[in-house]
Amino acid sequence: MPSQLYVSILEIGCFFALIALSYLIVLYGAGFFHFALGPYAVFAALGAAYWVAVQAWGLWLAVLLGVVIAVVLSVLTELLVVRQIEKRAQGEDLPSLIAVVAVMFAVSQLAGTLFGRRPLPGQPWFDLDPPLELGDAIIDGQAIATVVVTLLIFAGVAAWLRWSRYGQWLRAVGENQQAARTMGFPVARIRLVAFAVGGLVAGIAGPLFSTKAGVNFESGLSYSLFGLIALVIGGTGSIWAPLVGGLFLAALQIAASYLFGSPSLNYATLAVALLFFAFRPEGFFSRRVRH
Amino acid sequence: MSVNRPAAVEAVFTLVLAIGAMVLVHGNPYLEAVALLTATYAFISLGMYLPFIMGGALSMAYNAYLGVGAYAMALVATRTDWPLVWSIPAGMLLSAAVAVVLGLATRRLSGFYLAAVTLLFGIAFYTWLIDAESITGGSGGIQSIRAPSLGGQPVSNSTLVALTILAVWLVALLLSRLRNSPFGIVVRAQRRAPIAVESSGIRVSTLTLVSLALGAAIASLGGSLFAVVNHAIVPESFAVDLVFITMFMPLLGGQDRPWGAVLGAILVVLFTFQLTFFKSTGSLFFALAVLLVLVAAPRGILGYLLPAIQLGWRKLWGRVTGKKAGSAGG
Repeated sequence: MPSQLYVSILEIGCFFALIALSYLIVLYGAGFFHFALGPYAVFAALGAAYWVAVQAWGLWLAVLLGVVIAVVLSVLTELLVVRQIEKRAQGEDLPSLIAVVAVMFAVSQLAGTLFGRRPLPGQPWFDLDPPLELGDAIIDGQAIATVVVTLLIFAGVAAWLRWSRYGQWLRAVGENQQAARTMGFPVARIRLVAFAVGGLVAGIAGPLFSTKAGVNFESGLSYSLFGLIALVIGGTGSIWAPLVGGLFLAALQIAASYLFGSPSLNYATLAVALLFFAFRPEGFFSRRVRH
Repeated sequence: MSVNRPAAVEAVFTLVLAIGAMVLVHGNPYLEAVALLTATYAFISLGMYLPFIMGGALSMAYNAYLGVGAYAMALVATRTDWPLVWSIPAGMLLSAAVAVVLGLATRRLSGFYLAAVTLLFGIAFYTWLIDAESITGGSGGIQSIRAPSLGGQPVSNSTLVALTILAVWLVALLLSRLRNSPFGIVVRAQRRAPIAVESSGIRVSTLTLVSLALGAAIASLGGSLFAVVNHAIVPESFAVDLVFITMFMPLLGGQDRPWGAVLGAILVVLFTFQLTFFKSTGSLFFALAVLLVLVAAPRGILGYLLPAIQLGWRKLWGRVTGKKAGSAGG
């Protein structure tokens, strides 16, 4: 495999890892698979690209606004949709699943309506001139930025979960809401924080990755799906597990399309999902209780 | 002899509406195309109705089942000289078989995981339609599907559209009867109380597989009819986006009856009337309407409309017969 492809694996893997991490945060804090995270990433990326390319804004202002909107959308989803529907679902999880798929569809369509239905190129966050050459591989500034920002986010989230009050509470609520409520945790507020932080991570991931292949209003579905599969591969046992899952999935996709042509990317993803669900549904890292 | 009166009223009333639709679109190529699109959506939505709305399993590979039916019709029409009608049961059987295999592979998954894996399957199927050029004709699809013939005469498109509308009516009616049959009641019961159903000697996993197979066969029927009326198919018609539109139709129209799925299909086509679907704000409007219905009016349009009509009817009936309103309910 040409060494340039390893750089691609790293970039794509970091992106999948960030989406998987945002899933994991919402899963910890609200016990809920937030399927609309992919479209939030698209909304932030498409918005930032649109404001820079069409409105001639500065990059950082555009990215900041995109990220803020992703957070707001995620919080609104919990307040206006998920919370309302879970109230009357009587423990059934299908109604909120349907609702979050509807949110996903609505956010994608909103992005397409506001920013246009053509793909837009993302702007690099970090220019390296000349780019780094490592053997045959060319490493541009954005590849470095992607890896660095991803590691910073993972480290930041890990620190937040370990040392901050809300971070520590997050797991208590996700494990058992009823028990957490009985013990006096502010469950509703903790859930909101989980949705906000999940939206934040997805909102940063979108614009960060959009320089690689551009962004289209319809990309949200595959972001959501690939992020989820990365989470399943990695498992939910460690906050770093999504990083392993993301890199594994990216390596598999790139290798499959290099060896068997680009259509096999989708076949390989389906195959790995079915294999993991069948033989290792807990992923690489699972929480085990020691005796 | 006892006659099931509500069922007879339902059958006659909906048949009148179906005949009305046939008369309305007959001979107008534009309206016939609109009717065909509506009917195709309705078939997918009706196919999803049984496992999804009744059974609570959100399997999303329905673009694939529609595609199997459509490509079965197209391949029989262009590669064989068999009567076209044979492709319909062939497609339905093949779809059902695919659904059973996928259902077995995902039988331990529920809710979110099931939705994700079946979506991945739908995406892989769509990729395959473009990729497997020697079978599916690749991105160009399959053109010039011949018209079926009856007694040596080719059947006109207007007749085919009328038959398609009739088929939607029949499938929705059968599903409505199935819903109230012992099978339907068990399928609905296992959604909330799987353990109770298991303990009465019925295997929930088998029940799910049967409803998935039936649903896939219904979607495949829709695909076959779509292909033969359209005379050509392209892979774009079978992308996963389709599932996102059709899965919300019964929720919009009303979940309590399969007719809600048909009403949802009609509404979606009206929303996006005269516009290419994904190039308009119609789909944003639709998405917001779905969210509004989910949050604020979970019974869907029929769920609120029908009780109102029934109440009005009873009042009217009461006035005619001189009885008090509400006493005719029985």
